[in-house]
Amino acid sequence: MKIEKYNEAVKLYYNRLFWYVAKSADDNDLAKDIVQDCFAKLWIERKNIDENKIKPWLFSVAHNSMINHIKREKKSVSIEQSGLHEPQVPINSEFETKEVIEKCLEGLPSIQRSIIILKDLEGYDYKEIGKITGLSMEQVKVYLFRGRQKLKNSIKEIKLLL
Amino acid sequence: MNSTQITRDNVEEWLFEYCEGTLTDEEKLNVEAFISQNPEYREELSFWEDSYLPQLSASPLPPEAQQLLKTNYFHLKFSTLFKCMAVLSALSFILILYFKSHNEGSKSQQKSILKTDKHIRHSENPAVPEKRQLETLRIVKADNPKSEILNTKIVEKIQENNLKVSDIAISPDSASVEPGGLLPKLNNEITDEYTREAPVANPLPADQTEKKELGKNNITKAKLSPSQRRKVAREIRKAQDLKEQEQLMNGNKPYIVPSDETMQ
Repeated sequence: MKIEKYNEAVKLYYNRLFWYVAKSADDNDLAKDIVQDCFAKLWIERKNIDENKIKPWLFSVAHNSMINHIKREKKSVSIEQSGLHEPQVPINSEFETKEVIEKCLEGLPSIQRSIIILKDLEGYDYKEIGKITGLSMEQVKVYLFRGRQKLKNSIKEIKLLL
Repeated sequence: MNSTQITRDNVEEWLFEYCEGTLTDEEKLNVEAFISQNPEYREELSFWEDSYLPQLSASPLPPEAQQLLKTNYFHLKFSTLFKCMAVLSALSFILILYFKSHNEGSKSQQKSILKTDKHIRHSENPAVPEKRQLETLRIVKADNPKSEILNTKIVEKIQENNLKVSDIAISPDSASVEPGGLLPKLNNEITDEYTREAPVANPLPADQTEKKELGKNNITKAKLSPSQRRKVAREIRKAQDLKEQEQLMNGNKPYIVPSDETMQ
């Protein structure tokens, strides 16, 4: 990979990767550190990385770093046991759907958040998400359904309250 | 979908799949038919559609991302740098050698030009190849005007025709000059080149001739070193032989080498 490709990757994916980690881990400082590490690894491993697979490689590295960090911090809860946290959405008449979704997203378990972000924002299909997260296609689909269902219910509750 | 029948129990999954776009056209029609039959699920479908994250708006790179960008300066490896240095040093070495040899060549040319003005290369030994020049004679002004004339003629002849001394036919004027009369003067300036290879004459007559020549030129014996004296004697004999040969070639009477008594 040439310098031009690397710089292009930084320009294209830095914000997306940061947003992905920040929303998945719910920690902006951690997201900055992880994204910096990802691009540092990308530069080191540039000779071994296919230029057409930079984006999934970056998201995969970022996801693994994030999971490892969460495990180390013992913040990770078993995905199956974790329930939906009640989102603290400020209810006012001028709220927008985007803000509601972002707030509801914060209440999801990190794996469901990650999958929803990868699916909705990055446009990956189940197979690619499975490669990034290390899950099977079926697991991805199940987590996505559960996460999106929780989001839908949260949105429904908020909208019905108004 | 595994189950083809849409019911109130599995409608959530059907709506999810419908929003995901993974249904076939027939399945989509089935979902739409179910919603039309059960309008309360139309709102449910809208909530499902709202659960999709909006696309991120393009935002400028933060400063920490700018730091990650790499400048396009060349990133030379050490080995590449070493190779470049080696090539450059080799080239410079070759250039130095070239200019050095060039300068030496020009200096030697200059020296040789200067020498041609003052030096005449002279070889008389037939055993030695023609190209090999045994001795170098320096022609200098002699006190004797006749010898000066002869000197000048010899020099001119040699320079014009690039000849050896043996090739020169001495003019009649020079005949009046006593053979060897000019040679002590010439040989006083003999350089040391090839003197060892020059034919060595019989030392006894050389000493006698030397005395005469030294006396003629008012040069005391003490002024000359023994090696110079031997050279003088050697050259005298050579000149005598040369003269004799020339006279034979020209049909003149053979030059009689003066005896030691007459010399003295």
